[in-house]
Amino acid sequence: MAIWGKKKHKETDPETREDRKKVGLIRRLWQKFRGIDWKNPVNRWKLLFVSLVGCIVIFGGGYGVLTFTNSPSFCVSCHEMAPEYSTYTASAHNNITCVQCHIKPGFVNMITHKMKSMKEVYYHVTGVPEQIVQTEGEAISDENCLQCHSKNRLVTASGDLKVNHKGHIEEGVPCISCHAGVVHAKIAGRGINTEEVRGHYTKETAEKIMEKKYLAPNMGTCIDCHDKVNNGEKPWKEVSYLVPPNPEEMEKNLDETNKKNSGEAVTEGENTEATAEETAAVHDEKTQGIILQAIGKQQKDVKVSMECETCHKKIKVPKNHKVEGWNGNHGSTAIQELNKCVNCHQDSKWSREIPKEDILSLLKMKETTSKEHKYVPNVTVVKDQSRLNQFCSACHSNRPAGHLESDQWLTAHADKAKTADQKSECFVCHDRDKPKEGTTDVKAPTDVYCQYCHRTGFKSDVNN
Amino acid sequence: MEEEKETRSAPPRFSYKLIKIATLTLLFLAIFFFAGFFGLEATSSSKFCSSCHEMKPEYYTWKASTHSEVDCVNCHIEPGVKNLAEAKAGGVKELYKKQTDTYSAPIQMPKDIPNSACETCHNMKNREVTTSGDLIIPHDKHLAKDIDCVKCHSGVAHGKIAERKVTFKSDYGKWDHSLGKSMMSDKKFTSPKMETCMDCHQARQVTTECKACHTTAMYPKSHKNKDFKLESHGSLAKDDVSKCNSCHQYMSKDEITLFNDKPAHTQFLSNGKIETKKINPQEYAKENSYCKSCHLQRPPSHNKKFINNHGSLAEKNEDSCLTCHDYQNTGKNKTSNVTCSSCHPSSHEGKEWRQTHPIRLPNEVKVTKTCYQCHYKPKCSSCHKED
Repeated sequence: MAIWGKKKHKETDPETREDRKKVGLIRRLWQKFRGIDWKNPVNRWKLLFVSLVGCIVIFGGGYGVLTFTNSPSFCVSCHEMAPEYSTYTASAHNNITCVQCHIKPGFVNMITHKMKSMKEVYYHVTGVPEQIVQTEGEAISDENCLQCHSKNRLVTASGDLKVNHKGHIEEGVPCISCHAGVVHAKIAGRGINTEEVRGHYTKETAEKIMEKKYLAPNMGTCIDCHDKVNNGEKPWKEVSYLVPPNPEEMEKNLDETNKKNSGEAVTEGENTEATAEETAAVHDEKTQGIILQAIGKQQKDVKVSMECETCHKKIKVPKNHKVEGWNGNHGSTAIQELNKCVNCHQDSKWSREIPKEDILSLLKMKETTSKEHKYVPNVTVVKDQSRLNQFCSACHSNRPAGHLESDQWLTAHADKAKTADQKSECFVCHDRDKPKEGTTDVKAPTDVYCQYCHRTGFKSDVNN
Repeated sequence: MEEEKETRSAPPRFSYKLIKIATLTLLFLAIFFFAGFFGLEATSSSKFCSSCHEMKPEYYTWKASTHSEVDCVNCHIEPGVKNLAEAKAGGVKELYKKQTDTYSAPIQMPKDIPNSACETCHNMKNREVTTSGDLIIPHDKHLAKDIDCVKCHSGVAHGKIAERKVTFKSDYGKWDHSLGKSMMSDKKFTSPKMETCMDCHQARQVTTECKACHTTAMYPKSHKNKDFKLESHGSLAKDDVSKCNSCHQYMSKDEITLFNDKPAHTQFLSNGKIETKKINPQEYAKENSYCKSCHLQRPPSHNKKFINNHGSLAEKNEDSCLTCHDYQNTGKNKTSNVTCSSCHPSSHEGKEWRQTHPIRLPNEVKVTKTCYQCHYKPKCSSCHKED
């Protein structure tokens, strides 16, 4: 009461008698305390009593506060944790608490974490960040996992996988470099835990977004890391490799590059486009290179084999692939059963990055397309796939052996393109007309199109 | 004023007593609760459990198990205050028994681990079960039928050491980390046994087909050969019939008793050596009802002229005859009543008839007149010529 009163007066009128009198009240209390006759046993007992009560309040209260703030229900009392909490409750780890993973074991670590978390309270009041993402300092350590997952455990990888956990552990690869999505299904990487959608998180939502491809380690992660190891890197040593990309930092980087570009002030629009295209091309080429390694081509000396059989027990090259000339004759099979082709030949599986998603459309999609749609043989779909899919385009961009030297082929190709069937083969790589600018059509792997030479068109359009 | 003064300061003596009693009560209460709390914590640690040497086998196997990071009490005491109190009281009883040496060894678990203990970690709703190898085990179906976790997973933390009879009182001193590790290294004891699956499935009349649990259907390559069914399987069985038995025992309607052997230590104690019984594939085929289901049909070779031809066939491969037929009628053969002796009454060439002969005979004995005291002379003399 005294402290409160003092402050109030100070604000209004700092130097009144009243004020001095109040200060004196505290002083009087202090003097009263000093004036206590400690030789009087009653007073000593009183002191013991008071200090005992004080101890009980401090220790009991402290214990209570720690227990309370360690429970997941405390974490979720802030609305910004809704996505994290609901995914956690729908995960396989919902029998343990948040802090069992997110705070390193040990009392000191716990207290330090509590202190650090004070800033979260500040953010909660002043403005929650647009998206909450694990920072490098908050990456889950192996120590946390090993509290339950004993090293004596036999690893049973699901399906046809063989994953040499022992080898990975010996190399010091942290658990989360592969198992990052096990609780929260990589919602941060998918970009579905942003401020505007936090309200949409319910138990049902969480169950819908807990897809296996996000919970389980994705193959792109394996591929990316193995490729880096083959290039002499150890990417897991960088903590930033393990946690999801930080949206704020990414924005900062983007701003910086933009600034640089505008500083140069030379046709910056085209420049950025060109660089973007270039980086995309480099990226594509890299993916294609990896794919070729996986299917046993372009072999060089590598530390970690990238072939399918390295990790998959049951992968076998289908019988029809082993027929001679399969390379040149797989087109008709592709038309008939493209859905089967993409079971293996799907290039999205080869990428580590997670595409950004939109939770609203995600939920809607789940409702409408619960049934799998059946594939109907369609030439255009296959053609587009052959141009987009990096599995296909890895070879399709090369000049076929049948095309000989260009001067010979120029006069010889007419015979090979007589019927509509034959022509459709050409059209896998070549367009008939000049590609229009600004169309959304898939770009052909070659610049050469029919009308580049045949400017007046063909004699019979029926055959085309 | 006077009244106020009186209420404010009670007589010093009374105040002194009151504050003394209150302080002491508070002090003792505080000590009681603190001691109780830390006592509970201390007696709940796995280190405390292992401080009694009776628990050494259990402790070291657990330390080497997959559950090494989960304390004893997490499984062995059901969650809840009442259970905790019960367990602690039981602990006091055990302490008394230990001191008076009245406990019964080997120590057995008083009751099975309840599902609720497992489910504090293993979330059966959200977790995907990844069975090892080619197994398919629909855990949800088993759970829906109220089958306890421990019915299959009983060996997971201690490798069934009680069943294996290695927890005897005299051996407590021998236990250490390396022994614990070696006891847990045999997967046979830590992972669910197929016998358990089969027993339960048979008792409940659930399918026992291979492909119900094995994705590969466990079909060996040799079985895919064309001649396997009619020709080659017999000679493969001859090589190692126990290999056949490892799968086909489950397909028999009757129990296979041929492999029931005395345990190695009993054998050793009775005659000082350990023998591995060689199982005759012919005997096996007569016992396993799965084999019999085909063998009961008349083979195509047994045609009209067979009675004249069978001699030469039998000479070539007598074993194949014995798959269904016996030399003599034993009363045990359910495959075929026709024996060699039904027509060739006393065929005993190359057989160990001496073993069953009621009078002991030396090895090199010839047919003499004494034989005819029991045997019919014309029958014997058709082959055995008197010198």
